Amino acid sequence: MIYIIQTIVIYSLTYSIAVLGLSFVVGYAQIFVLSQAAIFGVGSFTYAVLAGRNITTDLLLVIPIAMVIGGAMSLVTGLPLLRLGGDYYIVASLAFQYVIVQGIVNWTSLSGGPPGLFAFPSPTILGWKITSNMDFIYVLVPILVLALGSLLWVRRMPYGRALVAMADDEVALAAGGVKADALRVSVFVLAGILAAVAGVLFTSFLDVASPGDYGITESILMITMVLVGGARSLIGPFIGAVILASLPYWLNLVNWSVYMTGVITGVLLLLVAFFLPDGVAGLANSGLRRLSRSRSKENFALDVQNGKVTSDDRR
Amino acid sequence: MRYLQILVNGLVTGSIYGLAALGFNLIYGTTKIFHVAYGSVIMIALYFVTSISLSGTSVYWAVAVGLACSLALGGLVYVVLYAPLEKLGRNRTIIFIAALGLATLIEAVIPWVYGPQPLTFNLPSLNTVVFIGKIAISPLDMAAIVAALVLSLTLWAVIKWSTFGRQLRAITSNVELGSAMGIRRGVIVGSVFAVGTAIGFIGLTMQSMSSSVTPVVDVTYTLIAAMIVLGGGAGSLVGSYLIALAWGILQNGVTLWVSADWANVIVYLAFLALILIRPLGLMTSTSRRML
Repeated sequence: MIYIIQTIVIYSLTYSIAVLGLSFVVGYAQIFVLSQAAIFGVGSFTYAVLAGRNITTDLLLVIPIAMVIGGAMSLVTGLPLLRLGGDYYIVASLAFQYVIVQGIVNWTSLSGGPPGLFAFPSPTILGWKITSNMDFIYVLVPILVLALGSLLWVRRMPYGRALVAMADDEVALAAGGVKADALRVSVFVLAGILAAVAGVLFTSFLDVASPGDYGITESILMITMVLVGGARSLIGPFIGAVILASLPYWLNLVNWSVYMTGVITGVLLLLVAFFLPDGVAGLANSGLRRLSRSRSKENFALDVQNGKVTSDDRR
Repeated sequence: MRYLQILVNGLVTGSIYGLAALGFNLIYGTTKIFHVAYGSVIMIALYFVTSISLSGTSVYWAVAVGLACSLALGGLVYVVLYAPLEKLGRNRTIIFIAALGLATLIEAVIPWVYGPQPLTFNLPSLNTVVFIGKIAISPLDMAAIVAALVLSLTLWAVIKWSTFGRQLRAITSNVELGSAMGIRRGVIVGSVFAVGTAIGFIGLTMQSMSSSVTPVVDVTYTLIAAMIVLGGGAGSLVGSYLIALAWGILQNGVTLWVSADWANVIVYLAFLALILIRPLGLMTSTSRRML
């Protein structure tokens, strides 16, 4: 029982790291990306190759390498954002998603082809072997806290304020002298770096890197985590990851069909579209707001005047 | 001779993709709804056809039933999913999320009901290769080329000359003015979804008859249709037809000279290059009209 709970916690933490940056991309940069799983896979294969060939298993070394590779890949896939937006970028990101994963599969000498790679030496940190589930949680929690903390810090920086402003009014931002395009690409790269880190952790825990785990379905699953939780809050993707990341694992435990994951993901997306455009966190927020004070029309008008209400609320 | 054979094979593949793009283009060009569940909805009809065809019914009857089924499903998706969302005032991203949800749902339910293994139509007579000169081509291949050409021309003529086409162009260019003239947008858009889905169904059925039906085929089908439509210029029937043919020829060429593993990778990269050079597609008119 304790083992099951630990595993579920590990899945949730890993995927939280993977989608934290994505929430910035969807929420603030307002780009819909369906290639996150491919970058996650790049991180995953970075560990698989480095550990599998006995180059290094030290996470303090593997993670920075994965960050560089994942960041570079995101930069390449993110640069088209300078020219494309909306539906055009969604389709482009799907094309990138396919190209990256198929590229990994086709590079058989490195990736082992369609079945992928498995059975690596366990990860280490400065000689400490990470073997038990509890060890993994000890590693994951600080990394998640670090990622969360740095994102919070980023949001308070001028850079982060520009991000929030970009979501509300891009024209005003441009008038303020900030280049929205550069901002957009940099957020995108940030999200990719975090996904790559999560990929390393995923594979070092599961001991397997299989291209089938990084497909379009997984990209959709990741974006669902963000949307269900609520894209504009940092706690949102965490909620989404807790709900969705371990889904295949516990469905397997209770012997339900593997297709249940897809059914639940699909239904959740439909529910979000119809009833919860701001996700669970958005629901909680508006609930709090309603508790703290009555929202009379005068209050609302005042909020609009003071800029507290975003264009989203008005919509 | 080999080049000519590749060209013909490419035309066949391209024609099927052309049909995929034609249906998607009709929907996307008219409504600007990114109907990402396009292939998935078609696949429901396709699996229906396959199962009744495998139970011994004549394949032509099965296809006729499937065509009716896809018309109904296409219209139903608009009535049940998109129209209510538009009424709720949801923005385009949210509507896309709903479509993504529907696609994910269908993709999970179909292999659950029919099993994950591929199903094959047993149609030896349609797939027997005949030689025209030295070019090998099957009756099904010829049908695909003719169907793509005829349906494209018919749709073009309908949009250009019929009353329905005029109304469709009216609501595409200006919804408010169109409604003021008494055009019922819901009816027009509903039938656009129905017809678009049926055209896509014809393409996917032809593709499946020469190979097999698998539960994942719809993702690629939608993706290819979307890429061709955006690459050709949204709403441009000529643009997407040209891109579709080029796509088929390139794919067949790469499969032969490089390898099948790299075929889609290279074609997708070509699409990315095209869309970066011309962000609004190959053929774009300044006034974003249908045609």
